[in-house]
Amino acid sequence: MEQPDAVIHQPVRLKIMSALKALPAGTQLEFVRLKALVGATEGNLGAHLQTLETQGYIASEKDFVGKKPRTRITLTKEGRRAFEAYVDYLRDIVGNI
Amino acid sequence: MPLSNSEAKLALNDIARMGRRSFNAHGYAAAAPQLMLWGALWFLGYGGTYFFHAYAGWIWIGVTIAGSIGSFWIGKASKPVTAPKFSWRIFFTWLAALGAISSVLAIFAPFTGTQIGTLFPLITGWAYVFLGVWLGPRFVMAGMLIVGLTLFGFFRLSPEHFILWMAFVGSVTLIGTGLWLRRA
Repeated sequence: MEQPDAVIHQPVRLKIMSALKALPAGTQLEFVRLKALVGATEGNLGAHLQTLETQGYIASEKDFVGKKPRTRITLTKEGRRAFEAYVDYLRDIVGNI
Repeated sequence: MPLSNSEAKLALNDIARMGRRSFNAHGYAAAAPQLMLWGALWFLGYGGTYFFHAYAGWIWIGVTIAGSIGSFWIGKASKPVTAPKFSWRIFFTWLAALGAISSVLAIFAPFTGTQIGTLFPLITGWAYVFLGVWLGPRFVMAGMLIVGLTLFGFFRLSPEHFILWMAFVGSVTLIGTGLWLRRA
């Protein structure tokens, strides 16, 4: 990889991907919990999630708990692979110097 | 533009930090309802033992069955979407723990009621400390609190007061810690 994956490299999206990658495969993270972890506003987080979903790196599921809407996000296989490639790219740079 | 060495190091540190936070928060969120369930059952077990001493054995059998069913149900509701339907590793871990405790009890028996009432909270407390070493510092604090309060009750209180004390320790520490973990 000559260049970092631009979709993942953006700071907020990097936090999102790191938070999801740390969990067992298939684990869903609630939007509110992700928002607290990342420290982003609701609108900002929503926009970055949309970018990641368009790229196929994450999948989201919307439902209701009682009357409250709930959004849960999970890392896709493609997202997991892309993130691992991104981390390998960083390690190569650190290791090469 | 390719990244510099320092930028790459910074990004790797950010990834590690966020990963650790996410992993800990996930563990806390999964454990919180379990702690609150067992805190309530612990209260019922010791409270029931205090008021209906003759039926203590039955009360604890009921508490254990209710807790096992409740824990299983909570675990099932929060498992990853791609997780296997039934984990034999978890089943055999519980079986091994049960075997280990039963064999130790068989060697050291007979116990007084107070000793039995102290042993299981101590095992629970230390289990949280061990878990916390891997899953997050809040488990360590919860475990140390349970161990400390249990030992205080054993060495400082009369057997009658000890049972009530343990009802208090269970409800306050486990339910309180569960609420604390949920907010993490």
